[in-house]
Amino acid sequence: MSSDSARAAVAIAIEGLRKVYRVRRGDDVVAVDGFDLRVERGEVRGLLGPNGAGKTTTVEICEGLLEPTDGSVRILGRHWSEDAFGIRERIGVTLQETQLFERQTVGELIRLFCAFYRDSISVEEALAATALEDLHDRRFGKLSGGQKQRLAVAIALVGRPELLFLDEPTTGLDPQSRRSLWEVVRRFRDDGGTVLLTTHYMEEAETLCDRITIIDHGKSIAEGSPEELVHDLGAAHIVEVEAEDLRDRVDSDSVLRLPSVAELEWDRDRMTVAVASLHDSVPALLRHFDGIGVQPSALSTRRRSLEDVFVHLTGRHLRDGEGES
Amino acid sequence: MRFRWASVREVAALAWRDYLRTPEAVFWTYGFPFVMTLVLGFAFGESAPEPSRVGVVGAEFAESFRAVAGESDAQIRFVAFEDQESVHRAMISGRIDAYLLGSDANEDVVLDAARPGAVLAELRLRNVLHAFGGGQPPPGLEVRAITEPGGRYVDFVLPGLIALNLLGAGGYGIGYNITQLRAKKLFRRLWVTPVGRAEFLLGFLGARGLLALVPPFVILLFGSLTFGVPVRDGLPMFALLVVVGAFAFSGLGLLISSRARTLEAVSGLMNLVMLPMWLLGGAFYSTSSFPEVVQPLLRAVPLSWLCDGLRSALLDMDVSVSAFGALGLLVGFGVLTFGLALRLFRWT
Repeated sequence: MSSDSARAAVAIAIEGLRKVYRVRRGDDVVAVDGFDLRVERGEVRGLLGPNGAGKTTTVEICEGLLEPTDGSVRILGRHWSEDAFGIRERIGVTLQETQLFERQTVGELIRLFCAFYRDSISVEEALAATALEDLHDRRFGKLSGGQKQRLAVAIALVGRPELLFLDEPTTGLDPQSRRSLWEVVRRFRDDGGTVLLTTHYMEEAETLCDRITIIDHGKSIAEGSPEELVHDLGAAHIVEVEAEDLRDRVDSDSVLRLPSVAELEWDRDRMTVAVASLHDSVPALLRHFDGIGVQPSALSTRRRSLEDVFVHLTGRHLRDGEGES
Repeated sequence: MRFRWASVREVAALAWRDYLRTPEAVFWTYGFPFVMTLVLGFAFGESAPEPSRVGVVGAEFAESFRAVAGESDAQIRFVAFEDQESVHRAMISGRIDAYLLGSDANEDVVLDAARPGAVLAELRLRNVLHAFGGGQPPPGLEVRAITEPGGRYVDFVLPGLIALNLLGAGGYGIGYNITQLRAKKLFRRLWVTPVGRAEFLLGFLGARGLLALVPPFVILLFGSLTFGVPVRDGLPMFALLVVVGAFAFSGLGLLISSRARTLEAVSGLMNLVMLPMWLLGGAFYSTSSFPEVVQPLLRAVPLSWLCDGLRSALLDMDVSVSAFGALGLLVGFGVLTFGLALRLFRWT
């Protein structure tokens, strides 16, 4: 490819992005409010945020579908205003909802999109990459949700893109279809491709993304690898203890003074403690209970997840209020 | 800006397949005009001389008219009615061609509206009334409307149906399809690829346009075989007008749908444009009897140019716009609508 693509080591560079929708006169909605993002080549970047946080708006600006109100967006080293068709040749896109021509077959649709690119893969390659070989002659209208989504990704791949945008690619899919799509994305990344992905699924973000940007109210509020984000919470583990009348018999302050205990929450007689290290805190907790004569009826531990990070940062669960605009 | 013929070709193939895989679309382009031609042809074709049906009030009078008619061998079937209102209703609904007002040949005898069978009925009635009055000249028959000179109704209506077919292919065929692509966000998906607007529209409209050229010839052939609609030497001009008509109305369809985001929105616009065309375009009936004041307005209806042009080409009919005039006007209209549509057109 051209020399400037080699020069640009950064796939996406967004600075001070703002997008304001004018609903009515004097009634503006700020969807994106001073957002910065830098995605290196070869990484899978996840964009996480509650509904209405500005994820889709940001992605659509990157895809050239929307004009930013303010700020600078460079895709593969180019501005949209400089060379829209040049950028389009080098990116692949799946939109949030993929509607294609109902009465065309899988093979015909792939061939159609292949014709749009200067340099495209063959229909067979696209089918093989997304395990759609058996569906070559099936009409789009007759595909299942998972098959449609795989076709959407196949079509996103036909132009040999350097950068792939996936807007909630697995929403509504069964676990198996989801895993098979992850496989496609991983292979694309392994071949040197860059991915910007939005998702509602924590597991998807944790297993697929090299780095994650959490966005809320149109701003980036945290960034890092899934491990870093969990680590930044300070206490990476959760210990849950249950016992009869636990709440009345335990003094919260003395628990918080135990080694490596960082946070404590109550839910009736269940105590949830965030701790930095299990091997320091669990023995100390058990000794403490022993000392006050409490016999735990249940005790469990788990690693903190991105979901915890998300709740911690935004005060909301990731999947709250389905049905984003 | 780049341009790739491969894209145009694939889009055209897509539009072509999409049409052929939509049985209802195929029906509306072919089946509908067939049925219309058949129905209108049989209703108004009168290819064989059939007896005129004339209503009379009172069974007694009907009987005496029948006797006279039998003697004079007039091709009239007298139908008895109970009262004036029911005989009038029968004529409005087309069950009889004319009726006699009054019950006596000496009273004022009247009949008729603008029905095609009325002229014949009038002639035949004159004979019968002559005989009925014992050789006295028949009282004046008042004819309220004069039928269109030359040809049967089916000859008149067939070019109208062909023009409507082209209007439908352009307006509905292109307008609805384009809007649907936008409403289903398919255009967004295309927009993020390197395909250009020009490539897409050329492929899509080109394929649809070519498809639209077929039905007019099929309808003409059908009318010619079934009802003997004359083609004369007008075929080359007919073909030219079909091409230009498809072009002009495709532009109109594209213009209507250049911005509409939902099918509801485009339906409103479509009705706004189509309804006046159907009513004032002169496809089904001649608008020359409309008041003089509105005639300039009627001549500005693009459908009427094509109707007139086709009639002039096929039937040598005396119409307000000649075939050449229609060609020019439609080309101009097409250039105008396409120009505007391409300026206004949006992917989203």
